[in-house]
Amino acid sequence: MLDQRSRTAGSATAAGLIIKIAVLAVVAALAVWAASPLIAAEAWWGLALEAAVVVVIFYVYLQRRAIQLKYLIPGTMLLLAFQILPVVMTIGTSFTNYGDGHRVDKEQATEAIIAAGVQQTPGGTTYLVAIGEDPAGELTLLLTDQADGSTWAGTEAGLTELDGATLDDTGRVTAAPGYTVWDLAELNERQAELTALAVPTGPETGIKLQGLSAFEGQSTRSYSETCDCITDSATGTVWTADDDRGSFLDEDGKAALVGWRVNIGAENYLDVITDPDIRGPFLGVFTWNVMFAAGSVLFTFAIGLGTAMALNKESMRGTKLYRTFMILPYAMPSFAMLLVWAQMFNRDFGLINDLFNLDVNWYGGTWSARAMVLIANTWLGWPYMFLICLGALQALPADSLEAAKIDGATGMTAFRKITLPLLLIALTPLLISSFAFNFNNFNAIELLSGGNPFMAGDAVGGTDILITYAFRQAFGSSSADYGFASAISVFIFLIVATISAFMFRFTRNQEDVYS
Amino acid sequence: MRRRTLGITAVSAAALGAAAACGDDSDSGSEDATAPAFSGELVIWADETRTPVLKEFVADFEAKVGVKVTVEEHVETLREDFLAAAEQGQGPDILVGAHDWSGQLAADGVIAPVTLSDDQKASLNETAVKAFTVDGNVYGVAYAMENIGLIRNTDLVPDAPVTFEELIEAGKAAGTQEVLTVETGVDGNAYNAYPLFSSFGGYLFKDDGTGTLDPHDVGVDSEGGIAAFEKFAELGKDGVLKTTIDATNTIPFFVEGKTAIMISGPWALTDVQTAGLNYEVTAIPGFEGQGPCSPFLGVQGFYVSATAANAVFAQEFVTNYVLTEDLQLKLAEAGGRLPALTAAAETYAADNADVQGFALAGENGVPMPNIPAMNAVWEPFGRAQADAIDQAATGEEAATTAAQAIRDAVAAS
Repeated sequence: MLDQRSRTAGSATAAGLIIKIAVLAVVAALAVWAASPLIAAEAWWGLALEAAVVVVIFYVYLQRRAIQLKYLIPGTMLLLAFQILPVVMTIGTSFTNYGDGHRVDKEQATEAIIAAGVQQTPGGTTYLVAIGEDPAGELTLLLTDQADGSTWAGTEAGLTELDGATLDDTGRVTAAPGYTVWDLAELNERQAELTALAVPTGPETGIKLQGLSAFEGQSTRSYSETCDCITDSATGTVWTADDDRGSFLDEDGKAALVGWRVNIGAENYLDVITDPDIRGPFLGVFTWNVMFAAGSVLFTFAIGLGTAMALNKESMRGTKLYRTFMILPYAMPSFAMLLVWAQMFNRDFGLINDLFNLDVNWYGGTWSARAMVLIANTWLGWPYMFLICLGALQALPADSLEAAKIDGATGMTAFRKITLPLLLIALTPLLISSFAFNFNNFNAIELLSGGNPFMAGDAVGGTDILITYAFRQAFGSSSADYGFASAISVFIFLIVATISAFMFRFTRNQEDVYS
Repeated sequence: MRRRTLGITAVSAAALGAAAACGDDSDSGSEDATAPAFSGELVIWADETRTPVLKEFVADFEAKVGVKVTVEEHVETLREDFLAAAEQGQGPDILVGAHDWSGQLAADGVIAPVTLSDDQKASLNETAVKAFTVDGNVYGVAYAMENIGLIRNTDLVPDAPVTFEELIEAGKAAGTQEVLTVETGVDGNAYNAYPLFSSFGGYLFKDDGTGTLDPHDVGVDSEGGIAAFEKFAELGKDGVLKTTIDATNTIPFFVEGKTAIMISGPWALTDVQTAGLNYEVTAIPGFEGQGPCSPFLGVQGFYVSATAANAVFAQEFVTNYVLTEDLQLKLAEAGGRLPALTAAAETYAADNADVQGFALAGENGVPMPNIPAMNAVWEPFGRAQADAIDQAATGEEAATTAAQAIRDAVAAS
């Protein structure tokens, strides 16, 4: 759709015009569709942003100038939406305490704490409920006492006995003189009104509606705006809001059950830097992470290049068959393959130990586990290298090699001095991207070793890379802490960005040398 | 994470837009053809195993109350999906899930307490109510309970062992490749290890007697806890417990006759029955001179979302409809689990030896702790168990390291 839009940009033909109108109509329709939930959620900033985007799109495509923009806009929009926005949001989250216990906003947290203070009066009555309006049009609960079958009308003023009510066979009120009883459809329609209705039965007790039943209970907790605190009248506890931590704290500093999301500044970053549990393993994890990425690239490239050169030889027979087989590891879904590999490394029942008659506890030792993930990751990755090396080899100019041969270069020298440097010019960007990919190769670690080996009490496993470590912090079996995990993600982003920038600079220098 | 949240928001928004749904109003049983259209609907989120059964059963509720009920299936990530949606004020009215979520969900403020009458409480298994209790409030209504037990190949081991030592002897005498299988894996498995741990008197968090657990009193390295870990090390040395027995081979080995004894739950029986083995389910015996094995009880139940758009009907469904014998029986049959409603449980177990066996095994069971601090237990406990079994640490070392790791994690949260 977006391609069409840019292709027809500035088109003067009738077909082009029609397509342009159609595409813009779709944009407008999408905008209207997306606007209604934004309006419902009162997300005015989001709405303004959406409107701005639509205005820009219409402005650019409904005029003859700005040809470049017509080509750039779709890509730029997608880049902003799927690359820049997540990065900005991750950075934003890294300055908050967002995580378990601090997910909702303050209002919701307050509501939840107060709701937890509603208790049924011991031995209190339970009722079946119908809802309606009294003769004055006031909202009324029509209650049937489940113990003795007596009927009551409950309003803001309190309970009054209800005479002459008609009951259905379950005992629920279906009609009462002077009252309009809502049917369930009407109740469904107007249930929002019910939340505001409080029916008192005593100084501290009231009728608490629950579904189509009700019970007599009391709400012991209340929020006061003046002290920004919640008081529990039953226990005498006073929780005061601490807006810096996002929790209601009692006199002893103990937090109430539910907290809310607040900005905590650079605390997550300070945690990453100062916590010895993180700082200690960080260097080790980082070193292994670089080793894992570099090792994966090196091994896959070496094997891929070797096989590609073998298959590139003219004297080689049956190359098509070989190529088909070699593509297989790449063609199979890596998720499934990683799980199969994980099972193959089982110490007692795995294929590897059985086949080679070994008794290696692959998951148990740091280096055996590291060897394991490198072996499996190499197997998964080399067909890719094989493919691109084969392509690059076939594109090499034959004359340089011939000239080298005439000059008396043997196979090895020619490879070292001619083939490899020429290949690297073409392949270095791919090797760097492969490095960046493997640097964050979450699947290979998580599905294969799961970060093992861990010793009891370790936060970091022997094969953990930064991304699996960050993942465990955020979503692992411990409570989720998104703020902290985001801070780690930002660190990883900075590290990968630095390495990549450094490597691209290095490549550019290389190209200067060769050209 | 954020992107997924946005995705769900968009999807939910779409669902809301399309939710000009209609339900038939058959108020108080009348067959009203000109029923008014309902503007709302009751949305239930459940996992892949419960969704089909629930879909069948909500039809009855729809007919009785007249509100349209939609059951949405969330494979694998039900809890995460619910949290992501509910914290934005979106998501379903009702969530079907395990009781040990209740601590986290309540602390996140995304589920609402439900009040059960004394009669309703009495009609349920006592443990099932306790399991959903957080800070004195009940947050979910139970419908099924499960726990692990001892599954024995009666052709190879005819008599149920009375002590764990007898069990090991019987497993060895059976002449199979393995003495027994219990899912452990390279990371250990606290859930499956807990019964043995409890036999020695080990505890995770101190119970104050009323079922409220103190997250600051960790008992992994209590006297009984250390004894249990010493036992893990001993059994690991003897090759009775192995970290190479994991999710991929625990049940297959039993089915293939490579072991005569397996410690597992009701989910294992389907494969065992398909293979046509003669088996019996009994309690996991305690160690000689020690207490009985208490497996964790897992309770499944219905939660009401704190942000339910249709709170009245959600509460009605959860408090009154879930507690009907009919629904509980059907859910039990679909899942092979014991109903939480005592009357339904009696009917269901009456002529079902497997259910009786698991119920017997669960008699000494304790509900899996639902306090958020429990999140800090699984990994360190499991790894300590794996270390002890693999002889990477002595039992005492493993137990004290795990206990320290748990204390640190609890203190940090």
